[in-house]
Amino acid sequence: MKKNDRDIRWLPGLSWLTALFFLFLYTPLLVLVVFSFNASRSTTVWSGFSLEWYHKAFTNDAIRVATQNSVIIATLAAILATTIATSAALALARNKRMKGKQAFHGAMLLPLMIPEIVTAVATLIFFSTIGLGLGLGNIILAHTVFCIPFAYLPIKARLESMDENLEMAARDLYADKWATLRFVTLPLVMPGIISGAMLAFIISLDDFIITLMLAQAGSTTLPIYIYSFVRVGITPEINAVSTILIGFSVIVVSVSAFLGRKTAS
Amino acid sequence: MKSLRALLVTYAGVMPSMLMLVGFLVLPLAIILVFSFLTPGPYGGVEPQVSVAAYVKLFFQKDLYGDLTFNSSVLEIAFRSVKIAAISVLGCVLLGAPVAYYIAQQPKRRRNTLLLLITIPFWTNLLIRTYSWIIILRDNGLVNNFLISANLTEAPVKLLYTEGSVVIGLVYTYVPFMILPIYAALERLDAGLIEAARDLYASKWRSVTSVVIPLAAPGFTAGSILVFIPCLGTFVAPELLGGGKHLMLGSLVQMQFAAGRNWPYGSALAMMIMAVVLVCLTIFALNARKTGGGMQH
Amino acid sequence: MRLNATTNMPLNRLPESKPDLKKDKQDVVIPAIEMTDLCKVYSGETPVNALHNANLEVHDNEFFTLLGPSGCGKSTLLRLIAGFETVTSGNLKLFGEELSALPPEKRPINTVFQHYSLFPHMTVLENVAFGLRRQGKSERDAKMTAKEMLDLVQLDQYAQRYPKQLSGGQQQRVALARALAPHPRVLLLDEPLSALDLKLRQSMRVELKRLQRETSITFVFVTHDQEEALAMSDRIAVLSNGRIQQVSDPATIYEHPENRFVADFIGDANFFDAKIDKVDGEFTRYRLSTGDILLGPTTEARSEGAEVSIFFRPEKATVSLDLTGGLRGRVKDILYLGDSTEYRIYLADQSEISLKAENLKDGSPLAEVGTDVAVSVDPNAIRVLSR
Repeated sequence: MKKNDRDIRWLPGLSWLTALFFLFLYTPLLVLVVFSFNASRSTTVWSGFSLEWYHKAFTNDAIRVATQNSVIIATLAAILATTIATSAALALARNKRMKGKQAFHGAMLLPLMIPEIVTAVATLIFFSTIGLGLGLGNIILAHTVFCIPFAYLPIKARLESMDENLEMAARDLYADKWATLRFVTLPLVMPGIISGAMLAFIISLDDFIITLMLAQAGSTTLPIYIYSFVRVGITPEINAVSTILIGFSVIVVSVSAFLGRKTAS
Repeated sequence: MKSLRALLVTYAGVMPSMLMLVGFLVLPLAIILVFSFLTPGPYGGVEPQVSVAAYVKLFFQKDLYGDLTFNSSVLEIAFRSVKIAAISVLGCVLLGAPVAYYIAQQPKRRRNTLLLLITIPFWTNLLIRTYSWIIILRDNGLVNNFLISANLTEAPVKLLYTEGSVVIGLVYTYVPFMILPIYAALERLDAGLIEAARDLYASKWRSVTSVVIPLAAPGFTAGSILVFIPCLGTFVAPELLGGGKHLMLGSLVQMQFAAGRNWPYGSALAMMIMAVVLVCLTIFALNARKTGGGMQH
Repeated sequence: MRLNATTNMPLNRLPESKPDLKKDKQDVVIPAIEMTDLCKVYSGETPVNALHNANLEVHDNEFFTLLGPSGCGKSTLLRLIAGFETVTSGNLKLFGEELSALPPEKRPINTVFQHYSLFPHMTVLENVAFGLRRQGKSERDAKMTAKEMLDLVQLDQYAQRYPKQLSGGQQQRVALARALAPHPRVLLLDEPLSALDLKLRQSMRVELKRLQRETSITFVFVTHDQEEALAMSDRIAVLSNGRIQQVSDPATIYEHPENRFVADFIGDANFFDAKIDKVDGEFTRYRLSTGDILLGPTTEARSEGAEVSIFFRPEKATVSLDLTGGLRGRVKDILYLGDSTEYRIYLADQSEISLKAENLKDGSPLAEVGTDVAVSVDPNAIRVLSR
């Protein structure tokens, strides 16, 4: 930006500070990724490129099982959370007769307001009190609940930015309520739904505390596995697993953001 | 009169979500509230006997003669938790506000890209993000390696397993929660207001302190709440970066359900966290009503 | 059998030929839309009475306009007809059949929305075919008819585009084609021209008028633009504050407004408080508040001494430097408007009137600012209203 072309809001040092901030934000992740390709066991001294740790991670049975569990949980929790969040978002945005919409909206965001550790112990006590022992099922139910707001918010944003007259136009053109939902509302809200589902998936995949509390033998997830390893010692194998997870998150979140942006215009 | 059927149809859409939220969140919270007033069972669980022992245990302990004496250890942990959470909030404000302001000034495309860059680390695994700081801060980590090779120090400086490293981890983890609401407030700010301030003889900095910051206040409040709540109950950062030595409320709660097996006591601790959170949310709600702003999502 | 429809298909051969109700019942002409004591109250903390006891008939095959300032109730009326709002009380009939209980999709009425509201995820063709598909036509038939409709609005080559790839004027015509495709009994147009620029707006006026004539569908058009209303309509209903003020053809609305609101809202007018001085057969002498006497038409049921309000339009008066007759005044401002020149003139009591003179020659003003002039008005151009 040329000096005389500056925004009225410009302040000296602002761009430097922002640059430093992004350095702070990305250096740790970058270091982690770089040393996942290290030839030696060190995670701080570079001694050549190698894919050894990836090979080790891929052939590790415990990691394979943990990954499988994580993906199963995240997939089901994301589908459940997105389905019920979509129905709630549609009802809250379009149902004129409903009273107390603000309260329902607040309730949808409830999981965000409660510290995760509290949610975790509450869920643990609840499941053991009612004697529900579904293994992965318990974790899926708990994940569904705290994924609800993450699925709900993008769908709600999409519905709010959508012109309600489009639905009027559909009704005007002989589409009844269901046809309007099917041919106009849902296709137009779909990017929000996909975006919400992706975020819910990532949130579930990354969850640690709640899963730690609920996990029984055989339902170890990837974060739990990483945690147990990190407590013992630091190995590049963890870096390798982490790099794969980071890459996965980056892809999913970017796609989700792209979908959200494309349709916002 | 509305029939039951009409009511059911009207509320059918929100029902599944509400059932899930009530069944698996509100009800469990109610249960731990009840449990906090019961007696611990020998191997975890509870005995159906009403007792306030769990709450008493927060502040007192039995001495050798069986008398209750004041015990400050839980209060100290609570105080440390609040202190570390507050410092983290401050760190997030100092680091996040200028960045949010910078982003708000960029052209639309660039703005979206920068926002995405800020959110990407947030969507990567919390453990991984915390773990990456261990690699950097530990005795033979990157920082110490650099300091030693630059001859700035001979022995490694102790960076990891301090309160400072916990704060760094928390700021690193939660700074996006601060930036996004502040950015949302700043983005809606009419640049014409700053032009007006400058036109009326306010300096660059003066226009920031007397126009920009007051108008972005709801963003600051929302960001502070969003950072404070998870910091208060944090578990991963003190465990991994504090080395379990700087105990915080989150870890204390977790211990009661893992090794300690004192459910009522753990429940009482969880209630204590909830109480602090409720106080924060109330302050926020009152503040939001006063300024007419709300939490922006 | 529709396969051989030519691209320039005459519009009276539009698909879905409309049953001619007028022929069935030869004596009674059933209005396209008939409303009796129609009321709309928006409930809320402070209920808003958007429409008071509206009584109106829209004839079949007519270009009918609802005209009024924003908030006058014209859009509410349109939304009631379309079915987007529910009637609070009163009756609303379409060709004699009660409409109020029907949802929008059951009404053979289509709307052209103000901002077009084209479905952004469908192509132009899919947009136009939407209503036909929902009416149960096969995909093939629907697309066929949709193509014919696109021909009609000269957009056939854009069928496969998406709405956002079109200009505002083109989107407008797609919206028209979409609303006309199911061949509605009545077409509602909600300020459809307001988002277009001036030139386009003017050419669309002609276009809309042509479409109405060729399709012989009843058009109900909502606008706040009086010029648009006068140029296009067969009849106009003027609304204000949720009440219908007058329903007439454009010339009557302009030349013989029934009340002060209509006179003031449509065109410009110079109003005076006046007293009937002397009735003299065909003409009456009116004494103005300025003291001047103005000759105007005699109106029934008003006796000498009665207090009335009289007005004339700026273009009906002439200004002259000969001070022997008419209203005396002094030129305050001269505004050159291109095709005409407007003179703003102070009268004796400091009230201000406006006159318009066509610039038939070179447009040089008839008088200078500050000169004393006389204003004369043809007695037949004076209008009298009750006060």
